[in-house]
Amino acid sequence: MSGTVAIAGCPNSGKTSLFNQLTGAKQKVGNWPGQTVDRYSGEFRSGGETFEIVDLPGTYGLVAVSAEEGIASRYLVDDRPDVVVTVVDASNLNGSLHLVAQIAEAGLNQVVALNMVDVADRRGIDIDEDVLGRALGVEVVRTVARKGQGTDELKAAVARAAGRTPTQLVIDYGGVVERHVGSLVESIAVRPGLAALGSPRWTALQLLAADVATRDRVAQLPGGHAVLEAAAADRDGIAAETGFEAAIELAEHRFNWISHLVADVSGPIEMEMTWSDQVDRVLTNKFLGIPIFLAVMWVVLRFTADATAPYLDWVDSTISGPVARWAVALLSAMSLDGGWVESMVVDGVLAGVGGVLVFVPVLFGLYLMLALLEDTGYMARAAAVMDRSMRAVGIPGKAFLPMMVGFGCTVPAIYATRTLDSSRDRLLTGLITPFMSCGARLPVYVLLASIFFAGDKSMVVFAMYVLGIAVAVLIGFLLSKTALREEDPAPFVMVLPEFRMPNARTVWILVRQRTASFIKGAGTTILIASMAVWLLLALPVTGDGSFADTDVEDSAFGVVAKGFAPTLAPLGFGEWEQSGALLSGFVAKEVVVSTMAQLYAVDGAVAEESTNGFVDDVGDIATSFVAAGRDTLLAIPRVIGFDFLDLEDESQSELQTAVRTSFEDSSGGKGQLAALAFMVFVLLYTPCMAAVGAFRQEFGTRWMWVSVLGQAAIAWIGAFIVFQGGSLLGLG
Amino acid sequence: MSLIRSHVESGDRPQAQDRTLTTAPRNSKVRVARVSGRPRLIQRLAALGVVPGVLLTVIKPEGPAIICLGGARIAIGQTAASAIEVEAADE
Ligand SMILES: Nc1nc2c(ncn2[C@@H]2O[C@H](COP(=O)(O)OP(=O)(O)O)[C@@H](O)[C@H]2O)c(=O)[nH]1
Repeated sequence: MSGTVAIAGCPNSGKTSLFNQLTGAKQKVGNWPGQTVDRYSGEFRSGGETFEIVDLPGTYGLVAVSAEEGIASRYLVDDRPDVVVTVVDASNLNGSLHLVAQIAEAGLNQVVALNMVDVADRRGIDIDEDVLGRALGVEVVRTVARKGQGTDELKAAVARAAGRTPTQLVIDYGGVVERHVGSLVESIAVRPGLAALGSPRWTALQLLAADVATRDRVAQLPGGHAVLEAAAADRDGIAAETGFEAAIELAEHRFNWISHLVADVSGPIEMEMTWSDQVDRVLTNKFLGIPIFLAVMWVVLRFTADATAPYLDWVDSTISGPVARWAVALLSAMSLDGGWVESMVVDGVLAGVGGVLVFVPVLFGLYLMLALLEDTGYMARAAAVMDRSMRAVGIPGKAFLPMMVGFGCTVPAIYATRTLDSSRDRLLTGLITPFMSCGARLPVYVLLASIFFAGDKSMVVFAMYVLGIAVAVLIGFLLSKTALREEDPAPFVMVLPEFRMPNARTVWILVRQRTASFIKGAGTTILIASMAVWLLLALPVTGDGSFADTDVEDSAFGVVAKGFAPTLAPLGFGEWEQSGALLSGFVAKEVVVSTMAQLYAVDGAVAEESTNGFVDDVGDIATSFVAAGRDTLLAIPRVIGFDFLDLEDESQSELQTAVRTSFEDSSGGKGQLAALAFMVFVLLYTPCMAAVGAFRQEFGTRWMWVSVLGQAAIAWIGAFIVFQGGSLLGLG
Repeated sequence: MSLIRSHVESGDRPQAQDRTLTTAPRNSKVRVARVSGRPRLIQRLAALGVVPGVLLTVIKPEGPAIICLGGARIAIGQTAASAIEVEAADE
């Protein structure tokens, strides 16, 4: 390894595209220390040397107001990479040079990638990169990261820069500020403990601008506290003498310097209205913006559900069919069939693997749609539209996307929180999205509603969805007023990317990375949970069954279900079959109904026996995959259709009678109320282990428990209010 | 840190008026007179070049506002837009 390179740039400058071009497919994902922000790194070779390259989080500048924004600033101060590649949006020089100027002021070795020159050309912005380079004391390379143009030149420039001694850019901040900078520089220079920070002038400027990363770093060094006190005094001095906060004084002078520079390198820039401005006016219109957004989301969700459903079935039937049979055949070849080993492999391991894999088509479909929306530039408009109404209830505008995704499936919704700006916003959104009623909860509502509310079935089901939204908003509001209170919320200010045709490569990389991240990240949690449930079902506790061959009622599972059944009695559903169904719903909400069928000993479909040979199986898998592809194509026209509640009405009369009797019994004759309470409970309690796995991957174990227990408590309270409140009012 | 004081004293700065970005007419060219609000808001705007003295074109004044600054289009939420005081820039 002969050098480290950091890549910096504003959000949407094309930083990720350039990073991908430089490193190719070889990338490592980790976390920034103490943060849930992904840290991508990779390698590239240039001039016979290998460089390690780190992708810094997108940032508009190096002054950070929150710890998370400070990642870039902190990395540059602490790790001092050999070269910093700063990606600049050539079509927005004014907004991009702030960061470049700051990195040059920090005295780092910098190469500027003047990206998006194709867009600039199209807008008639003509940039003289030599003038720009001379003014900043850096080498400037023109690139079009989307197409890979200029990548080799950039690599060569990095290799050249690596050996160079950097020059430090000095901007004149005017008499008052310079006087305070001077005295602060002195008090830094006389303390040898602070030498590690690099340029004293840069440290002084950052302290005056109140950058939290620099402040924290200085505080740890010997003599740091005295310097921090001096800086505070200088900040007050500047504010008193100029009438402006020091940070504004600095920004204003720096920006004046930049606008003169921009005028020198590109001449006056015409501010002509274009067709895309007209489009933006419509897309972000006060009245049309939200309906348009909802329509777009509708198409996205329908596509995700309909187009991926055939593949979902295919994965499911392949695993429970041929793959399970092969596993059994393999076990019998080793004389391990028929016993607990077979049961463990089929019901524990394969069920768990299946539980991970069935999500892959859905996630893939969703990520594809989202990547398309992002790459065309629409997502930025949607965030702008939603921000205001959401902020009014304390929820960030961008939370709308994960919440909508949550109607389909909570797992991708949790991952969709990554599009939010700060870890606080992500956590808040992650905590409320599970209340959005996912597709798997629907069968439960439909079953119970058709038994107890035959006439108003749709109304009841719809009410569940509305209740989910209401609870999500309420909890979000309460969190934003309490635990996740924010003194200084991030304002909504965002550079709108150009509209454009999505690029296949960008979209593919996004989709692949995110899908792989799910398999790796949530996969283990799901597998472990699946094994745990299998073990509970296999362990005989009472009765005369043996290991992996016992009645559900006598298994540890049955005992656990019976154990917590009494806690559900006040909610009107305290029978062990009911609590058992809820318990299994933790594995996946889809199975609540089938568990009910199993526990009420209703004959379900017996597993198909097949005498297929291996070759037939492989053939079947291939044909059914092709069939799934065909079904997907057929499903696309239906995407805009409205068959939302059009569910198969299988004959469930036997189950219906059993369920009705059970709810009437458990509630002392108030079956309707108990069923409603049960639905509310299913809506609000912990979604499923896959969602919990995703949540743990994104927010850590501690918050996972907060989320799991919090939801269980909220579900209990919700169901309690429905059942006891309803009883008091004499309903049911 | 409390709210930022941002009164205008010296004559070389543009004089502040009682008008914010949210009330500026569509398609008009305006000059930023001052930006007030919390540190984070001011830093964010400053990093994109929205500082006193700069010229912008108003594409849409509110709900959210969209401005054109040096060729780039910037969307600005309601809170931020009402923190930006502007004055007509006649050319
Ligand atoms: N026209 C054009 N588009 C680009 C260029 N570089 C990146 N993009 C596009 O700009 C968008 C944002 O790029 P991305 O790499 O995600 O930016 P980041 O947010 O800075 O990481 C993507 O849709 C890219 O395809 C370029 O040089 N020209």
